[in-house]
Amino acid sequence: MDKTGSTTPGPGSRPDTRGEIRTPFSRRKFLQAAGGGLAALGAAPALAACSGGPATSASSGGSGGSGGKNLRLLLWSHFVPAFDTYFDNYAKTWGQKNHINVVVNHVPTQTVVTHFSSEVAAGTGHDLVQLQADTQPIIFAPHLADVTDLHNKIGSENGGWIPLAQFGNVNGRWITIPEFFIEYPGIYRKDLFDSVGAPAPATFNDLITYGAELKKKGHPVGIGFSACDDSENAALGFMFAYGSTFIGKDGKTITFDSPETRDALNEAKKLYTSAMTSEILSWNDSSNNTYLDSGVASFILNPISAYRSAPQSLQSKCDFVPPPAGSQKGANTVTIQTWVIPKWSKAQDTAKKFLADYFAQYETAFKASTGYDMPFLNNFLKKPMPIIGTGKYQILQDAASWSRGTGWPGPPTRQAGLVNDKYLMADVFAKYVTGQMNLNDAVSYGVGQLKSIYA
Amino acid sequence: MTMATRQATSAAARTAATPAWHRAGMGRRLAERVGRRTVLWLGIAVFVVITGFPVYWMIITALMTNQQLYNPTSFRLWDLPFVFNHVTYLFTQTQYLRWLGNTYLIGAVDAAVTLAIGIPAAYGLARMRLRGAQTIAVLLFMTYLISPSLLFIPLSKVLATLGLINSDWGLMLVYPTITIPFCTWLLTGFFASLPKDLEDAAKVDGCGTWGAVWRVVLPLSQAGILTVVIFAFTLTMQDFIYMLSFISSSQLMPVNLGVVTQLIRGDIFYWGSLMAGALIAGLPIAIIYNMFLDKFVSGLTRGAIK
Amino acid sequence: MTADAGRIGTAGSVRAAAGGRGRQGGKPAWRRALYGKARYLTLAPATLYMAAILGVPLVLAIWYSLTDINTSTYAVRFVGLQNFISLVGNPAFIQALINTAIYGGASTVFTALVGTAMAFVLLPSYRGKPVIRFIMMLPWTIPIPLSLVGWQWIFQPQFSVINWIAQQMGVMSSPGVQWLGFPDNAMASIIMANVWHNIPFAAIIFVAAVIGIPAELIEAAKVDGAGWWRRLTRVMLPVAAPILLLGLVFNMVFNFTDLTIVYLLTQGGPAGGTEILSYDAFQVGIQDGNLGEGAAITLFLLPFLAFISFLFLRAIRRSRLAMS
Repeated sequence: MDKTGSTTPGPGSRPDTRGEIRTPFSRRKFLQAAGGGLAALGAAPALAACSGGPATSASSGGSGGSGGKNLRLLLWSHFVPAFDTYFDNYAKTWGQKNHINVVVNHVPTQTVVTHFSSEVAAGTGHDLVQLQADTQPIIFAPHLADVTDLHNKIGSENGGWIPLAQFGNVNGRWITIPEFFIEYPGIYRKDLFDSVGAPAPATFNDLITYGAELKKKGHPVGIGFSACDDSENAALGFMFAYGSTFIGKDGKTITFDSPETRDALNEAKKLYTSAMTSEILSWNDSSNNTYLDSGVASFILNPISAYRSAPQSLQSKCDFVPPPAGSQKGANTVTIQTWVIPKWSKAQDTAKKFLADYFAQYETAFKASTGYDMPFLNNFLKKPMPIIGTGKYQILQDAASWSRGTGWPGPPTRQAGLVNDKYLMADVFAKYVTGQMNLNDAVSYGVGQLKSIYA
Repeated sequence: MTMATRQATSAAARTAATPAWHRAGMGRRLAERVGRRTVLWLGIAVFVVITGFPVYWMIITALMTNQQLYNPTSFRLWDLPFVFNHVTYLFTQTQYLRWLGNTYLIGAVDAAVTLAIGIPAAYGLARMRLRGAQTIAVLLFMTYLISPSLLFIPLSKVLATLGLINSDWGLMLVYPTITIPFCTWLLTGFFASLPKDLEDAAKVDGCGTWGAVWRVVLPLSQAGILTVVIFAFTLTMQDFIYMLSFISSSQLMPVNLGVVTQLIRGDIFYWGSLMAGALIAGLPIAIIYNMFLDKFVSGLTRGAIK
Repeated sequence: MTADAGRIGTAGSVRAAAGGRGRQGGKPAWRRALYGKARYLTLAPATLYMAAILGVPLVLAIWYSLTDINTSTYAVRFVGLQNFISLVGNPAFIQALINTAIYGGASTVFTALVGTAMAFVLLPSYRGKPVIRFIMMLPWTIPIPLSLVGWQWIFQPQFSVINWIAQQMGVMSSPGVQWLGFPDNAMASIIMANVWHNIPFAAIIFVAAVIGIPAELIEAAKVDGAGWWRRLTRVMLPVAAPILLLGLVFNMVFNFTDLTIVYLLTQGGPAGGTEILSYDAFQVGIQDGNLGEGAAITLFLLPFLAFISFLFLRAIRRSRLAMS
């Protein structure tokens, strides 16, 4: 307050300098120091990362990078809620038996990578994380612990890993333990196909021919060409069936521009015009489920979740087939869930033991998933498998033979993952089947987009 | 004569006294008023439909069985009987109430922190002519320009250092960065519009500046404070990316994250429960808003002009 | 207002009476000086809080954008403005830039217009107003991630209620508009979801601004023969400017930097039709692990947005000062 009693300094007031020696000075200094200290604390791990050192676990640890007596798991919300219950229970029981405090955290299905990224940035987090694609371990490779010994052990104890599981190897060391994949068979309405005198659809030609008739009866085919995982898998399914790929075996050469690709695109266009409606262009992952469950769809490509969520009366009319063939055997890409152990974890050995024990009894886990979680290990794939070994489910046992990894025939690289994330193949198919682009333009559009990703 | 009859009599007398052409004018004005009223009700109807129809549809979805929902042939805007199993699922099979509690607690703490920090800042900006203060105010606002899509990565580091990953305290620490700038600007306008002499009088009475603030300014600012509180809740309840990045334990999740985690599983959407969850989260705030809306508006008003 | 004017005179005279030798004059000089510097303390909590929490992340974000940092390797190289330069040559980025401009611009304009229109419905009083007001507040109070799930259901390809109603009324053919299926439709859809959510906010801001205008000003304008439009533009808007501008700039910045709506509704699709910069930054920086490029995308619009915001904020300050 200056002389006039108002709080605003008038032009004529002069601050008294005597006061500055004491309180304001020290107060200002204190605030500066505190602010600087906080900033430094924050900056330290950041600078460590910037200078290229391995991510150090935060000194004030808190809730991350737990010690040997704690084990923290992070995974998605399984689309069978009962499986989450089983898994959480298994983890708790295991914890009790081994005197470890086990915590299991679930995050929304597509978001594990988002959450894990923030953990990587923080340098601390869970001890055991289930990533959601074969490409993701590569993306985080420097932050993941070496699990070669565990990988070999589990493989040898259970009949060996199938080819689909051969991802996540960096310079000879394994950085991930694949758990399961989810296959994409065809689900079709047997009653509808019978009604037009059609056999179980085995090729895309079947779908084009009989699908056209069924569409006239109000039951179109439901294969999406939209921005979602199901559609991307379907587009790749078309490509594989006609011998087309977008990338070569080396994972670097773009092979999209080929006669096989043109065949695939043309067949897809035939299918679209004769047997499908335009609504498939806007589908998300749940749309084909709804399409089937509402009784409309005659055929969809989807994990059996769509079948399971259908009403009982509808289920009895449905049956499964492998992905349709074209000029070649049918195949498509699949969802893959795989475990990683981050380097910051102080419970790496505990995590490894957990996984070893978990895989030893994987049959129970498979049953708890009601047949969704297809294993990568030969012993568990021996026929007859539980749950899916009988009845209409039987063809699912061969799923590994018609399922392929991201970026097939090349390795699952980051770029391949980005093609997937951008739903690039589905995009190209959508543009061509709707007539938005002609054949050559669509192919060069695809090549152009691929080039910018693989640049 | 009673008041009413006296009025009626005089009105009748006035009508009789006015010339016919003037009465025609009155009729026209009446028609104008009726016309305006019709337009008003038309506008109300339009906006009730725009804002209310999606909400209505969410309510209906929450109360219909899956069979009714997925039936393209008998698709209706209204179908009895209503079922409550979606709502029951929400409350018994998920930790919905816990999530709601987390959300409101985080909102309340954010409101408190925003007030504690924003009130002094706004008062300083409004009343004290501080060099460089306007620059600081502008810079405060500029923090909104960096998208959280990037900020959450380095923020994770900060929170990890403080041991606040996977903790609601971490969110409580970060959210004020979203609410402080806007609320400070609001409060600045608000304080600037309060009559200065009340504070001056208080200061002259020996209160000192802070005494004046405490005794005079704050009691007058109830509306402004209420405004900040409501904005604090609304703004923090809109977040998704921060809670997704920092929280992984189900019982700590605010309602946005909890609902999305447990009710959307891959390609399976529990539509009924999702809709119920969305509505129930928004209702309490809407009710409180409505109760205090007049105060709320006057809080913003004071910030508009003197 | 007139009472205040009277009181100003009183306080002034009190101050004059106190003069330089009043109570304040009796305070020791160091205390007055303390007061002088201590005034800055009012801003200290805010500045320190923001600096402490956001300071390091902001600096890091800028640092990332100048390097090739990514999650798949520890080696980090300083690359200067390379990230930014390579963006400009990338057609996908240019598309995202255009999308952002369309989305941000359209959302802000529509929110302002529709919100203002709704405000005119909230101003008069009528029967049942509390209930109607309650309904009109709901889009804003329902958290946006949750209302987006609702919109997903409303835009569902097979069961879209909008399509169903339109088909019943005969204005749409089966299978109906694919709201999220075509790039233009998807853009319209996210704008719709955004505007719907923000209309109540805009309406409240406008109502507040208008209610505070003293009736005498409007009466005076009417007496002067000003029509509705003139009253609006010459009297109401200038007086209401501070808060209108604040609401507008806040909404605009939100529309240009938020990624929640795209993240939950369209994920940038279809075919990049709703790929906006904030989501692109997320895809590139987080999903693909290329933090350097992601940071560059996020920061790309910063100078432009900062400039626009600065103009707005200055206008707000000026209009406040103009009225005091």
